[in-house]
Amino acid sequence: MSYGVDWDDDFEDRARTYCPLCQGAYMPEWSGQEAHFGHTGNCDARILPTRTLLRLYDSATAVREEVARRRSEGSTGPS
Amino acid sequence: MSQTPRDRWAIPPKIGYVNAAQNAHFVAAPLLAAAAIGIAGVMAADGDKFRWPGPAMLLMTVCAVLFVSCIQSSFNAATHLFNPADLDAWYGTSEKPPDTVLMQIQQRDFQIWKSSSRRAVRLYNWGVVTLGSGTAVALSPPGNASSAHAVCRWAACAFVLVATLRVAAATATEARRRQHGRRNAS
Repeated sequence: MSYGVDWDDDFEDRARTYCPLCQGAYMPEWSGQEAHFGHTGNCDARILPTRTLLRLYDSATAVREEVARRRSEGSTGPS
Repeated sequence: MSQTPRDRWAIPPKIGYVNAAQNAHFVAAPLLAAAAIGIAGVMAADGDKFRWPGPAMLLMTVCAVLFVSCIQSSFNAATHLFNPADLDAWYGTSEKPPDTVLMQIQQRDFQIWKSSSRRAVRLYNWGVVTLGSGTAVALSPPGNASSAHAVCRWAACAFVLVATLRVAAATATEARRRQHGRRNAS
């Protein structure tokens, strides 16, 4: 059953929100799936939590630096 | 988390489905909802001329709600459906996001469209079933009808009922098939 019409979406925002390393698009939460980036299997940014990448996605350098920082701290996946 | 395809656009399983669904949900459904509300209004005003005005009004009200929900669900579905030509038309000469990204978004939105669209189809079909049931109940003759009049109305009632049962059976079978398919997939 539908409970009204849905206006809560912004295509342009979504289309411009993607991982700068692998162009994995941002996928908002839907049908039990958490919000995530559609990274490729070998993308370095896979280890970053979605929230962190949402903050940094417009700069590939910032993403690489964050990945390097987390690797140096021993992180292997999103926490 | 399953990887969304990034090298192709999603295509409907039947190319004509989008137009067919939009005609059913945005043209037929509002008309049928209006008809159901109209019949319920007639029942309210002239209840004594019908055998079971109360149940008929109930079925017509449920029917109108199902059709309106179908329209809403189909509206929500339609907002998620687009193809590469739509993107070209909207972006025009301004800089487009990369195709890889747009393909992923279109694939995900296509899944949302499919899911909402299926819900709209189910609502539409159950709307048809309740409309048929309500019509059959409304057609049953009142106790004071002449026998010739009663025979015609019972015949009309039976005719509508048979057609309605066929739609109900088809809808229920489809729902069971989907449920079975989902269970097998998981």
